[in-house]
Amino acid sequence: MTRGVIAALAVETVMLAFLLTIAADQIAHSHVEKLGGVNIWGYRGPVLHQKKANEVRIVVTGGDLAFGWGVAASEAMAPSVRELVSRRVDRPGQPDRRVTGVTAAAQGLAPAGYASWIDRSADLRPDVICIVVDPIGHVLVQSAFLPARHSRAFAMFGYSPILPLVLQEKGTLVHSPLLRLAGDTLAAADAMLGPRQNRDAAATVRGADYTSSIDAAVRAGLRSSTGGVVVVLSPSSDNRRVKVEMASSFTGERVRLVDLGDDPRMLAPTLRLDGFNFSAAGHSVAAENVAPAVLELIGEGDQRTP
Amino acid sequence: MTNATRLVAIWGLFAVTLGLVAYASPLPQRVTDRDVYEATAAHGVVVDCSDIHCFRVLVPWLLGPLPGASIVKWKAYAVMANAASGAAVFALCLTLGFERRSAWFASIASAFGFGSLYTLHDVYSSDPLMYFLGPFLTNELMNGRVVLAGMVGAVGVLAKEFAAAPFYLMTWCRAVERRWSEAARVFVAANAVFIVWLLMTLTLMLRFNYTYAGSASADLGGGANLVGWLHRQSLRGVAAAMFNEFGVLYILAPVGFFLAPQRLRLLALLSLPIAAFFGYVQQPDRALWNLHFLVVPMAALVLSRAPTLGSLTLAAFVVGNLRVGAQLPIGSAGKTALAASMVLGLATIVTTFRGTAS
Repeated sequence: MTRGVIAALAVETVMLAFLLTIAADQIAHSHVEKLGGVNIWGYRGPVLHQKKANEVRIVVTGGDLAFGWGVAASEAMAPSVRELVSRRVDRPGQPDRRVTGVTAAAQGLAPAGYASWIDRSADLRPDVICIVVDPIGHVLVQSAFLPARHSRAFAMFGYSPILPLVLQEKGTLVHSPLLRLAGDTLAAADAMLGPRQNRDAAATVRGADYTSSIDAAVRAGLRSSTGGVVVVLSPSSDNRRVKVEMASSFTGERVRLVDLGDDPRMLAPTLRLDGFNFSAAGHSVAAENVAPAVLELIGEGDQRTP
Repeated sequence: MTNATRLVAIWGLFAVTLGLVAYASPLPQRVTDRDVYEATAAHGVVVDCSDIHCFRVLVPWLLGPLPGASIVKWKAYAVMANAASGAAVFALCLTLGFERRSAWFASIASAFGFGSLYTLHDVYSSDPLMYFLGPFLTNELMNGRVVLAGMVGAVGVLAKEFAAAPFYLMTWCRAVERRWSEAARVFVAANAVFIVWLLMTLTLMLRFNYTYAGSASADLGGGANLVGWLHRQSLRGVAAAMFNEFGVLYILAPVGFFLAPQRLRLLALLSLPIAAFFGYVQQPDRALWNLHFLVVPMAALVLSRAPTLGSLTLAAFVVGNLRVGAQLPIGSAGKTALAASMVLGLATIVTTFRGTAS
């Protein structure tokens, strides 16, 4: 065997290992994106098709509460809002309109990071963005892969790998040390390549820059969306100050404010899975509060468009 | 006549004859993959496509820019590729050490077999190109032209993933023969072709949101296309489809296996896992024809031992395929020909054994 052949085989082995890992990652995504995971671009549910001319797209974004840990992608707030809005805008005798809803939130994302996160999500071409804000004092989830915000692949291409997490969890489930090791190795490689992060920072949602963070997120939302922004405040916090400041900041703009705390049903512990995250029913009730504001913005958008 | 001239002449002869068959073959009266291939030809890339045929871009990309009606272009492509397949099988047989007569039998059975003629009826497919590339690449690799084969394979794999199969088959063959250096060279070429396919597939998936979601082929753990196909067909339908695929070759090829040169026998045995894989992920009644270039030469060895009966068997086989493959409206003549080919095939086998015994 010549040196050239050996060298070619070595190069091919590396390339194949890389490409097959991506292929395996895609397969892993296809298994978890409809459940508790995210798709290759980091949002929940299958990758959206190209936006159609008659499509109304609603994006629900934010941190832990918006992400909807514990429920399937189809049970989170975005699909429920989509369903309620669709019933109103896609009626017999009216022009054919398709409504889509997508959860583009990130676990562990602090309010200070919402604005840049919304800027990243502009590719989704949303009509209305619903920003679900985690309450002050909430301890943020330290999640490496939902989505993989700190991955090099995510930073460079927006690609959110999930294979390490799937292998780790599968390994734990079937008691396979080999699978766990494979998952840990990939996770370590990903962490080694990824940008450095301070895991201790922003572990809790702080009150200091809370309103200014929401303010920046709304500005980003207004830049990215054609219809407007709905700010959704958590029911488990005192939102009076935020509401006052928001009202003065965005008077006359395409912004609506929904305080889930105004609906007594939202305070019921039965609508929570773990005391914080909403159950499927919780998302559904929250969507009932959010949908009217979304419809209002869509209606205003229709009036602006000749 | 030089070998190259002979191959061109064979190709021309087959092209004219297959052209007439293609002209007479009716269009399918059912949903085919035409829309997908035409969309790829028209747009280059069909964003958000979930059909497996969207990944098979080469043929529509080549035919799309050509002038003329779509059906004419695709029929012409199917005719030329299937004619080339017959010529490539002829060349492969000579490389395997066959006599010219046996090579003729094999090339005719290839060009006018079920798989080839069916693609003259349902022309919107990458299959005709694969029917050519299988014997062509195998022959090039057997003759040591690995670089040329690698380049052709790297382009061909953009038409269909099967183009990588002959490379792995030959790698395995060389390894079994303990010709390690050649095995390594072919393995490098095989991996290069596979990498090209992976790169194209991942690019289409990541950049243009292509998925295999609409294709049972990708559901490897759930029975792939095979289980769905079996569910959709009656037992009789399955039996008829499988019989039509090779017909009399089912009885001739196993006999020919014992008459075949060692390398062909080895290739035939080593191709069984590939046949099983493609039979599982695709529709087996069509997928298995991809390996016609190994089945048909073995059958041809039997036919050529009793030339008169062999010729009659082959003629009946071709007429039968005109009915079940090209779907020509020749009524019961096709069925009669298929039955006759079986009887004649058995007679050929008996005559061959008697000749061998005496």
